[in-house]
Amino acid sequence: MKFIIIPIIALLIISCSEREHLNPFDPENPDTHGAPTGLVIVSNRNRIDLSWDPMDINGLSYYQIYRSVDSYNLSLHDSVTANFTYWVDRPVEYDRVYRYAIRACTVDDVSNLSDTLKIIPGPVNFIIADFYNFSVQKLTYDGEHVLMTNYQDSPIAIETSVTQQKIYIADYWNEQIIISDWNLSTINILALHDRPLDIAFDPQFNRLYILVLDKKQILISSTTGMITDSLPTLTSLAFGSHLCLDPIQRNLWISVPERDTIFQVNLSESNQTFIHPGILKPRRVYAEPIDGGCWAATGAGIVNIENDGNTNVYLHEYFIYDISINSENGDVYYTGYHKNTKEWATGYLNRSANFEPVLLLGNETPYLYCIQAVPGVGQSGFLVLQGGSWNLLRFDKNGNQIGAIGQYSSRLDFELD
Amino acid sequence: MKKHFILSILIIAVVRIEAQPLDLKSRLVAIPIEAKADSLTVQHPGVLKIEPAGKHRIEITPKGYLGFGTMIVFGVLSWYFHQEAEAAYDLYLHSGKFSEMRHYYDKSVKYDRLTGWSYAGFQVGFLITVISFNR
Repeated sequence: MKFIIIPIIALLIISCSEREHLNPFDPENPDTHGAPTGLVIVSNRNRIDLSWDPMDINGLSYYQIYRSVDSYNLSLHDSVTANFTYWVDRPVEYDRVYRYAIRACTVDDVSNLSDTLKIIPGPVNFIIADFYNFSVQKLTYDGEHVLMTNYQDSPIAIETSVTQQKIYIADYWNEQIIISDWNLSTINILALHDRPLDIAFDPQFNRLYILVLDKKQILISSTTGMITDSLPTLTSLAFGSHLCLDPIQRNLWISVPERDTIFQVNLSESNQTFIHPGILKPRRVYAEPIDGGCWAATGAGIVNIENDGNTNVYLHEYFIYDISINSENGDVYYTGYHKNTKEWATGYLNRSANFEPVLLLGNETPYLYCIQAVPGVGQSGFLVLQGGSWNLLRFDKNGNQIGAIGQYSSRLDFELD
Repeated sequence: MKKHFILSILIIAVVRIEAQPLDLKSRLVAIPIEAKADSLTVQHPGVLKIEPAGKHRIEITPKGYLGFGTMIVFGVLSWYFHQEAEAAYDLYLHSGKFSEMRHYYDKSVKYDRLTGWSYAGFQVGFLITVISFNR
């Protein structure tokens, strides 16, 4: 009896085998659903680049590009021959929502439409140094697409020179400054023999000011990579210390959160140092772009220190995690939480209304730790890092979320190109 | 193909396999055994007497031929259907026409099924061959 059962079982096992639908053109293909795959779109100012995976099928003639602008209704916009797997849309208009999908056409049939992707082009891109993820990334204007990524060991701070088209990356553990071109390719390396904490670029004299931890000083370097001078900081520094240069009043500002102090080094008066104590846990410092001076995110509101030492405090009941300045109109964007109610708030100080606070996001969008404002006239858009999900969220000038991308770490530094 | 199959069946039919008896006696003699006065006396020497084994002939029975032939036929068929299924599937993978795509896919599935049945036949043949040795 067993000699009959065994072949029957074997027969049943064999009958169970099934061929997979792996033809990319096949609508029953579980991965492609019969549509082109791997569609990637990136924007860079007034152009949008599309690319996709080639379809390895016989008789493929061309790809059709479907597009819509500020609408969900896609329509046939262009087509490219089967030899190409990329297409460029140029010129495109800023702050408009472009949606794209593609379709493959053979001699006999047409494929399903690919996934639809959206993008909003704009005048700037974001550059992000992510210390704990060992990367420097360029993101598109809408904060949803990666333009390029370069991996570095410990990028703690980043600065750009728009005129020279260079990016300066402070590499903490390797004790160096990496000088890259606009495509994040390394051009030169500046050895420091000390751990850099932050850098500031001086466009007037083409200099770099580098705050270093161990020797507690500011190194001054030419942009070609020569250390020319150094300034003592008169204090011990810490991992949370930041540096900025005010090119109007020629001051360097240094925050030392462990000592609740901000230091001011006057470059035009023989590097005289002024101490501003009693500022609770100062974090990131920004140069005031219109009148000169310094803005600081602190544990007791947003602090503005004028060149003569006068101090103004805004939102003193808030623990401010980060600030960013709209360089075109001087509005100060912030993110933090109310120390009593523990409610999170993100908004800006409206310069044209005597720095009146304007709330953009309330407690429904909590744990926003880092912020980067987009330059523009009037109320501006911004990019924020949300803790927990560790995503970067991009909001437009009306406070509507237009993009999100993950995942990032807690220590980021932003720049714009 | 058919000629080769018939030829192989004929060869199997003609060949006889003969087993040689084990020569245990000569091996035992080679071991030196020294008898002493106080050693044990062999009470029943007949027990230790080793008789040479008779010649044992293994023959393939008609059932064995049937099993072996079944194995060969279904093995060849299984291989052929598998090749056909693979060829059809390869054409399906690169087809850019829906009707053609479906045709080749169905064809590959059909031949896969035939491959399965043939392989089952091969296994039946194998079992018959094994049973044929069971005396």
